[in-house]
Amino acid sequence: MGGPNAEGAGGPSEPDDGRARRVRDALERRAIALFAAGTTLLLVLLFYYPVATVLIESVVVEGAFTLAAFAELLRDPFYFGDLARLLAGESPRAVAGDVLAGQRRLGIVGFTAYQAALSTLLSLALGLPAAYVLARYEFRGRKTLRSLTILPFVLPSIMVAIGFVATFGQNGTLNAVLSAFGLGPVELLFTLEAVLIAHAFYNAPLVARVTTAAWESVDARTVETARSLGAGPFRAFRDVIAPQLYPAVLMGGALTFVFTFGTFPIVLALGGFELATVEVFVYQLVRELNYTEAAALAIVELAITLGVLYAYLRYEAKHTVRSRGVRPLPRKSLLPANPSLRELVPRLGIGVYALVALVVFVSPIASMLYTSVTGPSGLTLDHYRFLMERQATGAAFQVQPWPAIRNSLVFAAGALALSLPMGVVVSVLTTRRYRGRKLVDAVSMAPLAVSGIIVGIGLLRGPVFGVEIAGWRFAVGGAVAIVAAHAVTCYPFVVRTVAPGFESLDHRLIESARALGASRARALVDIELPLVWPGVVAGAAFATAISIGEFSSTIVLATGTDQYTMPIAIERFIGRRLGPATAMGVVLLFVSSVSFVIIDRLGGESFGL
Amino acid sequence: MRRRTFLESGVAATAIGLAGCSANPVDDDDADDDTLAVATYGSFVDAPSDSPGEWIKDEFEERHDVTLEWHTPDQEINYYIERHNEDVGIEPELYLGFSPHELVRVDRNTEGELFTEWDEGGLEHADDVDEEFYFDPQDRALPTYSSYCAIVYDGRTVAEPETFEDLLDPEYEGQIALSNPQEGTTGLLFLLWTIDQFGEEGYLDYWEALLENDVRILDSWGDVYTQFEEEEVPVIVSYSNDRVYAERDGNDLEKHRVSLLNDEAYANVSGMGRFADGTNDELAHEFADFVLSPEVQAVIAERNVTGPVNTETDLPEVYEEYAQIPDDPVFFDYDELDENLETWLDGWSDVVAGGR
Repeated sequence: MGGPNAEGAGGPSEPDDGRARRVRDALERRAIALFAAGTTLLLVLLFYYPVATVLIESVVVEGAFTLAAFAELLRDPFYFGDLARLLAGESPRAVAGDVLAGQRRLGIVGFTAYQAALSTLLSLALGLPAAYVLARYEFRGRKTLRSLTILPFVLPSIMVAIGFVATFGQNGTLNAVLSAFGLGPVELLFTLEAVLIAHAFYNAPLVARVTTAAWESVDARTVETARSLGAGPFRAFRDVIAPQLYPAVLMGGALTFVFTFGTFPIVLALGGFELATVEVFVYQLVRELNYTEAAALAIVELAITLGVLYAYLRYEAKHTVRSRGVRPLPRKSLLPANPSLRELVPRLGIGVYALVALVVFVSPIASMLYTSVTGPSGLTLDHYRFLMERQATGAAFQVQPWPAIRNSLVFAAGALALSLPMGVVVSVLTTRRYRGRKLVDAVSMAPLAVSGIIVGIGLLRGPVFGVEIAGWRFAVGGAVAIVAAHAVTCYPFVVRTVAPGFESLDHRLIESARALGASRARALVDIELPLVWPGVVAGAAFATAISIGEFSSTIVLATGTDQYTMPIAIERFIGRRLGPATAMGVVLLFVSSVSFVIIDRLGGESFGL
Repeated sequence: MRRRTFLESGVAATAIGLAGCSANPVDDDDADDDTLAVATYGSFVDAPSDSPGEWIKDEFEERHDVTLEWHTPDQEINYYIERHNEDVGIEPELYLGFSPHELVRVDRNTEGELFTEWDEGGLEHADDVDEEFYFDPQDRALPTYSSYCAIVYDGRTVAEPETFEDLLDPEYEGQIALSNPQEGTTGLLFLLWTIDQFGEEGYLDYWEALLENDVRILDSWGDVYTQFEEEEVPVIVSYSNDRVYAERDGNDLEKHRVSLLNDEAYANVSGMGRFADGTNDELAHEFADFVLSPEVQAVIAERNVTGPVNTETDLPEVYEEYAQIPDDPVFFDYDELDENLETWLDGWSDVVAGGR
């Protein structure tokens, strides 16, 4: 392609150059439309169509349309508790009487919502102080720490469960420490509390991340103005800073609710079947091949989570603050300059929080590291030796460490290359003004909210088995399909980190660029993207994390032995001995930590999610 | 600069997107007589400790001068049920390693035949297979290996539970873990065992009592075993040959003790079936005969830690010494499972998870 210096050069090649430029200009003019079409095609091919093939089974039974599955589900107290009794036509008075007499029954769906609400509260309680520290204090390693807040996203639940057992179990680290102080022991495993803490382990970092970003983009001048008008620090926080944080806090909360509502392995590994959630039953019904009920249940799950997302998006649209922090608030040093009471009290609080964070976030990971170097007879490197041996002598059909690492990185890079443009284009489309756009936005978030097993089965039946047309079967399989599926899962995160930026941009900027003759795509790339770049970088970090941690669609789409990833290797290495799996878990942890720090540093010192 | 990468990445993505699709003629009959594809579950060929898959592949290839290909889809037998129902065709000749309850699932969810009958006349070693291991009334499942569900307990910290009632003793409160019967095999075997013990009328009462005693129901046998290894729970539902593994792996045998409740254990048999779509009957039969031969049965016993079905097998010493085999195994046959399994499981899940 001719560069700018080739333009206007005479000679025989000129007509070609002209044509190339015309083609390029035409492409550029239509770039957004092309990307939108490409995104839609990919979503239809690898998400909506496959998922629809499964969900349709809830309303089409033996070729006839029916809503019987839903009717039955809604009237089943097993799922809907007292609500089901009302829907089944019992008198409200009788139900109310039972509830007042203390015989309330939540049902599986009610219980799932209940634990998700508690998980969200706990995640907020643990995430917000972290955001406060990261946004308001300066200390060595702050940036690295902020990069690493995304780490829990890649950790397979089995690893977290192992870490939690070693930390919070009867013989765990926590009880050992407590007994040294003459306290305890506490019984945490197999309780709702254990599940809630594990959910906080996954989601509090997310809350911290989005809130930190919002806090860092608060304009210091607004606070200074409030203070100069006589507001105390607390009042200034309540009236000036806090309103700018609410959208981010609510987004963290809404996503946490959605993720914990659809939770499955953590609940069963740390709580047991008595705490089983809706997703557990969706899995079971799918395993029994009872698709009618499984699909109906998955739709109920989807309706609830999409409802929460939709409510949040409505709120976000109304409350986005339309000014970006030109000058962020100055950070304080973690070590106080002059030890006055007002300086010391918040730092004391930080100290207490740091202890809690150490127990909840650091010790499970440390326990996992420790498990990877211990065997039946003390410290050993046997598990890492196993990985080396597997690499050297493993059979072709067996999972080996290096290809798993390589594939994970290649797939993550591919997913990144696809999901960033997809996410940006969807953000542009959903921040334009038209009726019902929040509905479109919510629907485009569906990959966050659909049950993983349903997506898996849908992919299997759709793209993997292929479609038969005129005697040919068109099938999508292998590495490219995995990358595309990862991109579909990742792009909602890009949208959620980029869209609020677009929303708060001054539209006159784009109008001016357009008036000066820039195409819509050029205005996007040259004007808008640099302004929302921190959000794009944050989206990239999320996309990488999701792709590296992805399990369910990878295992369905990996048709050959050269397509498995690190999480699949971990799953395969679990047997009666934990060692090899934890060693592989440590490899995963190391590889992804390095990736995140690199990605975050690419964002420069700028503020962003 | 950024614009360039932005546009180019899109073009590249479209290009690889197209490259990832494949289109094949539907009647693609590239059946290769020199390759035998066998489907099984993952850990049969790829376990961190040891698994028989690799040895079987090498040995069979050498003896028969063919290539053996393992297929291990994550959804195991459900994957082939799906393929059958979607009419997509099944590549492997046979599936190795399914249990009676899985065969029930196959039959309830497929129209027509997923598996077809064996021609036992063509199998040299079939006569030596113990009759008691046959579980398919239609002779599509050839017994392959057996195992028994039993209690494994940490002999250093708790006393041996000898009966089902013992498990309700306050001594074991919060000390017992088992896998979810709807998901994990051992959990299902234990549930069936309790139904055999207490009858259809009584098993739910027994489970209520177990729940009162704070029994832990986790997702899979792997989760349960993790808790046992980490010494969080000293009593688990596992397999009667646990000590074979413990001995081989250098674990403390006092920690790995096995209890056969009432001197019984629930039998689980794994079978292999020949896909009805198969195109190479001869090779499939050769493979089956190979698996049933005493020599291979002994290797499977050692590397898969499961018992042989061929009565002529010379058991490896470690197996002979450490595996416990009940005199009188408990089990439900295919017809009983076919008729009742769904009801039994639904009843169970109502009692355990329904009270919220």
